[in-house]
Amino acid sequence: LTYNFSNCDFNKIRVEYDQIIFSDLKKYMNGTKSTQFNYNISCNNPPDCLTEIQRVTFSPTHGCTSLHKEMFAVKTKATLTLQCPGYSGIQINNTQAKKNRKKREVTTNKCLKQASQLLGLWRRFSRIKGN
Amino acid sequence: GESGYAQNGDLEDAESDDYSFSCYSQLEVNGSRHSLTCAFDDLDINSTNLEFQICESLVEVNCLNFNKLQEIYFIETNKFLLIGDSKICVKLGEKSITCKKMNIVNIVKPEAPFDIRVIYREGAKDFVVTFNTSHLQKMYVKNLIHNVAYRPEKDENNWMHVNLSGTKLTLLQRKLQPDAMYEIKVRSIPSTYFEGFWSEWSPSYHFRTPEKNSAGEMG
Repeated sequence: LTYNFSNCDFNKIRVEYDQIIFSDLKKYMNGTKSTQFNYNISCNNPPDCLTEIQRVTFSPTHGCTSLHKEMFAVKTKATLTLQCPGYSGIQINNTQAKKNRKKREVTTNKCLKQASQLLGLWRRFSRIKGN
Repeated sequence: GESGYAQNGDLEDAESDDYSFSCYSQLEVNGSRHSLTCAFDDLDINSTNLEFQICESLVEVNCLNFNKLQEIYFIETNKFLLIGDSKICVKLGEKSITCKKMNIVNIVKPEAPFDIRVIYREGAKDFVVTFNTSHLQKMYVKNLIHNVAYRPEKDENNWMHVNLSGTKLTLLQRKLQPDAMYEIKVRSIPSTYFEGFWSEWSPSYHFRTPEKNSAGEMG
């Protein structure tokens, strides 16, 4: 399910990230050094950044299938739903997620790496002006 | 607020009674748990069998029921999403009598500041006022406006006010009455993104200003 983020209210998303989501993301990363992972995902403009943020947040990957359940992810979905007309959020492929659940508990480091990519993507989104 | 859903039958008197209510939230009031407190505006209302419920913008649940403590309805939870409006309803059994749409981040009442102190600096001829607030350690409601109020004790209604965002303030000696006992207190209100109400006042602190010496100066 792909969505075009061009019509979102980027300023409101920035404020909600800054005031709400950032705290939860930092809490999730608690104890992880910012230098522990290097950022290898970037984005060029606000819609592009939100596309990447959604992908990294909600698409289960090998070794990290449950990031979407974390508080910061739930709130990311809420702000995208609120500030992006027509956005209905990604329907997680539950069968895929359930199958890998046991692995997720062992390899949370992969989730931390993904979360640190999100920090980079959100920081980039917050800095790129343009509405 | 949203109009009530008063029906006929046992809710006949619901039509005449005013079930308007007000609420305030306190974020991270107990670790990462938030609280929401509601009460009827009309204190004389017969609240027997009336319950409060919040729905929407919650994590993992659709609705939460309030606990009732005398005439106050209260929830403590970490399930507030803090994004988007919630719907708070007064319920009689399963019937909603009246509902209101509220956003938890817009009805924040900060915790009262504390530990207000005043130190006199003879050299600088001023008083340094400091106080503390639990909001410095919070994740969300970090930015507040603090309202410091002070008055000579014998001048009941002569409160002077200073608003500041920090927790330190200087009062010039020459701006105060000499040889007088002063009372000082402080309260806080959210200032960035979060909105809401003044906190309760901190406990007051009392201090005395020096007498005037022969040269007409205090000290």
